[in-house]
Amino acid sequence: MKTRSGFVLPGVLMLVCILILLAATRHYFSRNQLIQAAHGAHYEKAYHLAVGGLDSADELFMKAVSYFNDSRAETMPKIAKAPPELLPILKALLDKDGLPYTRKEFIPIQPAVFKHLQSSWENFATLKVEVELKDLETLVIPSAPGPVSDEREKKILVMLHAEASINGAVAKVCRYREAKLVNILPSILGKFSLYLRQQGSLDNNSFVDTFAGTGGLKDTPLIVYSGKSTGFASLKPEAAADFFESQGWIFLGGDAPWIVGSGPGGGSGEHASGMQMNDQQMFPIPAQDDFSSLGFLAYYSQPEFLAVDLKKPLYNQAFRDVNNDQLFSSRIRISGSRITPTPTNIVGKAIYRWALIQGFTNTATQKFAPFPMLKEPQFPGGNWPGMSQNAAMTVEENFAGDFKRYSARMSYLIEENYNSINLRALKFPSPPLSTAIQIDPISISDKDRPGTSRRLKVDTRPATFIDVNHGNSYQVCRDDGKVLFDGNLSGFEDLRHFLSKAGESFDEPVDFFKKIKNKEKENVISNIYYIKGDLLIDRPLKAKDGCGGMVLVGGNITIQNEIVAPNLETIILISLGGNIRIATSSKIQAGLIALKGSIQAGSSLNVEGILSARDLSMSLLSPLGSRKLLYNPNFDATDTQIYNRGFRFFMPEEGITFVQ
Amino acid sequence: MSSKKAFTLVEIVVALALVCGAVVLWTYILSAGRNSSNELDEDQAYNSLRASLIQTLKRDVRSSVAIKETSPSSWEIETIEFDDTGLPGKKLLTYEIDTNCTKVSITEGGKVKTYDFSKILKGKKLNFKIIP
Repeated sequence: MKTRSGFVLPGVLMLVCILILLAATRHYFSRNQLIQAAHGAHYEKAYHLAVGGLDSADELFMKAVSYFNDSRAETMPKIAKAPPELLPILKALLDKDGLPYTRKEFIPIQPAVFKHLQSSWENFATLKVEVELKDLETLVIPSAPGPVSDEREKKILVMLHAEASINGAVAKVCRYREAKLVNILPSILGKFSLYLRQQGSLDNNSFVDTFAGTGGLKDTPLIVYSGKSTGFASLKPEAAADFFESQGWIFLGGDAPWIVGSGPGGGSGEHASGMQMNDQQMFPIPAQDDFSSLGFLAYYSQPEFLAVDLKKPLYNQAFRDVNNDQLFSSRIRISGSRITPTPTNIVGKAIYRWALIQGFTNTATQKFAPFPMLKEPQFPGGNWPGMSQNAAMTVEENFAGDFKRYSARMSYLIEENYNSINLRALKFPSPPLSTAIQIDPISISDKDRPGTSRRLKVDTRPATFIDVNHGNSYQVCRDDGKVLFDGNLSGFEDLRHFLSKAGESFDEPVDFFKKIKNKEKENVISNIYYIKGDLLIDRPLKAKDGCGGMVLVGGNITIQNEIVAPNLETIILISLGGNIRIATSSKIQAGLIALKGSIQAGSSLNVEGILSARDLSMSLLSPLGSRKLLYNPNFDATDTQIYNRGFRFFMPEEGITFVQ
Repeated sequence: MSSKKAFTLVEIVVALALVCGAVVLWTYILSAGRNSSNELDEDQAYNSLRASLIQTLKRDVRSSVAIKETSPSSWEIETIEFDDTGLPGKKLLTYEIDTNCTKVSITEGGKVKTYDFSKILKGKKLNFKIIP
């Protein structure tokens, strides 16, 4: 058989191989490109899934923060009252004190929308969002005698990590914000309804008062209502300490005593000083006195307000020889008004001055013959104001010419430590305390003394509510024992440490007003703001319901419009270096603080909050207007429950998002 | 003696013609295949480089807090990324396209990363712009 070899077939076969190789190469590259493109597409989907998850988790997180910042009583305790959708995140976010805390672990967030998000995407999609809280710095007060830092106030980095994966393509997105966990209460100043470091130019005890109607008044006193009202003999001694502990206190600084005269406010119960007794008491004439034989005669004593009328014939000129200024009363009524007395704890050196009218009374005719206030040299000779010489000589004979015996029965001005008038609110079970016109705190037995303060120490001793609380060093504590202030209250003037709490800072007030204006065109305070210059409040300010906030101003603050805080939420205006001028009679529901300057009240004053300043200056206001300061107990930083409610977690609405 | 016939001239000519044809076809196919392969390579390189640049740019733009056009061919992007301590920090990136419009460089703290399209584009120009 003949073999024949050709080359066409191998050639064709080779050609076919080459074509297959080329086709395979093309397929390989095309497939690679497809895989790359598909991966890119999956990554894009994963990225958008992650961003969607981040947005929905962020919304939930912001709701939780907003709920935390709502200090209304109905939201307390936070976890027990939390809405179901926020419960898991709040449980993870808050510690035992109910405050957000930092830790290494991440907190997972699973909004209900996640299931929907994942099911709407590919089968192989996963989504995970977690919150991370990291400490950045503690907002420490520079070490100096005075306010004490709360280590819980800090700057915290809040990071939301979202990770989404679709068919193996993983996208990680992070959103962060710098938050501040701060307390919006103005530290110990919130415990004092009125805090004045100095007497300044107020000329406090210069109110020329009268019993004869308000028309003759040349000024309007400031009535300070420091909390709950209570009348005479209404508190059990054992319950008194708790009452005074929870009142808004008053600090009257400086070494010179504050003379606080008790005035009748023109006969208006709303303008008369609170806690001024007025009841008349009669005493039988003792046997040693000549008139003891006249059964229709008795001695009487009647505590009375100070007024220039006491020099007039109506009061038998009983105080004719007393200097006029001795009969002036205080321009600040620090224990409320006669209608609404609010006794409280006065910190500082304050003297309460009032008049005691005494004399004979004819029990048959109900006529009174007050004995004038005399100095010893005036006593002999019968040359007494308001009495004929004969009458005076007769009275002199009654006391056998002994001025000491007379002086115990004559009319005179009484000065006592201001806090001792708190004893008038106590209900003593029996005489002599229950009937005493004036009680010297030293004379009270331990059994009848109200308890001491757990929140105030003066020169290391626990303060009482009936003695002078004046010293060189004061320690103010919370009711849980934590020290809030240790130093001299009169020297406390520097509040620059509050600047570290500020969440927003503005060069100009116009930017501040732009920032706080909401959709309803209301100016809503819901953060801690710092304005470098002066601030003129010429439009209404409002607190966000349940939130409140603070406005720190470098210069002066002028208030020309109302400040409204629903539910007595706390708004605080602080002038760090200037004055606060109140130029409106509208309601100001806020704390006003100017420790380096004055609070100036040009006309009416209607504040529901606190006033703290170096000094207070008030222009004369006539005819009688309205000047009142009502303490807002929500400022009380010494009450642990209220203090903890003052914590806020402030952070910017917009976070910064980036891809990891 | 065996009688063997030789190829006729026609047969030889036809065979040579067929061989020549096959060689020419083979050469053509090989050349076309090589060209096609090179094109695919370049295409692949372009796509890969472009995808990498776009992915980087996307990440930087998505992480940006500020984008600024410093010149018609240069842009500054301020981005956020985690630093060594695990905290987010700012980083300034400068994107630039060269005068021939074939290279895009990204400068960050003195380090430069270049996406060089010059070998792929063969005279063509990149249209690269970041609109803040």
